[in-house]
Amino acid sequence: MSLLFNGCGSSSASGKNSLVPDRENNSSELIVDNPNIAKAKKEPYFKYAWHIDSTNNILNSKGFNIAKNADINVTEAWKMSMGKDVIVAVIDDGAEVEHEDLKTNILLAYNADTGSNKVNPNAEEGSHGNTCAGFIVAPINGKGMVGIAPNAKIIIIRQESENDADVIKAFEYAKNNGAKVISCSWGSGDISDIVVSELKKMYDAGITVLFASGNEGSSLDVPSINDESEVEWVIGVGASGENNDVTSYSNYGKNLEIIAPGGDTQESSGILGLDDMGENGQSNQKNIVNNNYSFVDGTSFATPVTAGVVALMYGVNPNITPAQVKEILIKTADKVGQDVDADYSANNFDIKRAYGKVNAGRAVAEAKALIK
Amino acid sequence: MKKKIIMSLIGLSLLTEASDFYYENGKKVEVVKIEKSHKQQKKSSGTEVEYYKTSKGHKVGVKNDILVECQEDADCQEVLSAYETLSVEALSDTIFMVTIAKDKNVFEFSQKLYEDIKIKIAHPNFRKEKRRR
Repeated sequence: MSLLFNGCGSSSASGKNSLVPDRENNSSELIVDNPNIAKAKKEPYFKYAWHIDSTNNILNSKGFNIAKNADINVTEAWKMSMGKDVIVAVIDDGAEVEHEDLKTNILLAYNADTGSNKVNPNAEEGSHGNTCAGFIVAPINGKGMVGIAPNAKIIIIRQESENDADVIKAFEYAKNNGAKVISCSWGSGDISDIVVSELKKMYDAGITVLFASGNEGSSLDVPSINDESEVEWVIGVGASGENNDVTSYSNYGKNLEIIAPGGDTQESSGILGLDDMGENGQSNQKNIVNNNYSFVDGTSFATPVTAGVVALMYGVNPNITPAQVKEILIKTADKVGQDVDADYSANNFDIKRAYGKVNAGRAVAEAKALIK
Repeated sequence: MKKKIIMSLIGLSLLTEASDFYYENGKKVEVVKIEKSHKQQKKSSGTEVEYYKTSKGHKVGVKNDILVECQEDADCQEVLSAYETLSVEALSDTIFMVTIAKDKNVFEFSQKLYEDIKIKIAHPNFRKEKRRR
């Protein structure tokens, strides 16, 4: 069944059947084949999800300046996949497994530090992993927000200890339980050889691993730093903001691949996600959303946003390899910041913005085109 | 006076335990033990983690466990059986955690393992601060 709806300004001048529409064309009419897109757009907080659709949000009316192309063209990607049958793992500090906008998409929960299935945060500390998981799989359920891959399933892996052995256990659990994508919004700046080897194993097993670059606004290209996000076998992710350019806090370097919306609460609204304190609420609801949600920022959140896009790519083509995922993300990225100081003249790479900002619509179309 | 200073420097250099290093990507990374203050000693009694500063400026914690990966054609359990260990735990098909007696130097034991031709990676099971981003 096809639906006709107004909105995201993503129709192509060359025709409605184009997989990769020209986003500069502002036709308001689109033919879509996925009725869930309309349902997703009816989620209560979709109107604040500028990372998904920056032309259809109302944050501008609340005093925040959201650039019209700040999103990553997710609604176009949703015409091809919403992540069904794809398993994503988040390795972090756990999550609130009963959260209203998470629980139905949680497949498994595992605590790599203890071997148990207890991953809930304690009430005082909250859970960074809660927010990360929501950006990937918050379902279409009439509540709150929607994730980038709302039909995917997630494995919540709590790994808080500092020791390398538990990091290995976390990745092994994800691999052994079918994850195709692993999202990691943490780093040490001093990765051990054994962990690099484990990441190579994930890569060889067909699993795409993503790491956040960090929030110091500094270069990773210094001899003392050997960061997880720089490893050859992973996708290193920096953050873009509401202004459709890299954020000032996003760490950068020659070994990173991509930037994606991470928001900037200092400069604008931030990006709306699940609150890390769950129902206890945190501090940045801005009197706009309820306590289950919060406006946040960081490369931590750019990473699960990108992981969601990768899940959509696996959704249309389960056989793509991590090398192909990386190549496609790079090839289809939007070269943002050229009106400021970006310089992509050397191999399409800008030092602050890597290969540019993720474009979900184009990336998923490319992944689909690889099906033989 | 000069003599006293020289003697003190020699003493200090011995205290830093020059043999404490590990291999990272085939290169030696030297470490210097971070002595605990009395307050820290009281607070951390029983945790057994000793902290070191690496020559790259990072802080790493170690106990008496080592992570090992053997060369692809080697039977790692068999390779490790030749060493005096307390236990060997498989973390994956190829990665093993070796626990050694507490009175052995974990860096020296790691070096010995690394220098075995059948072993690809061997370093202490590091404790490193990970930041949420």
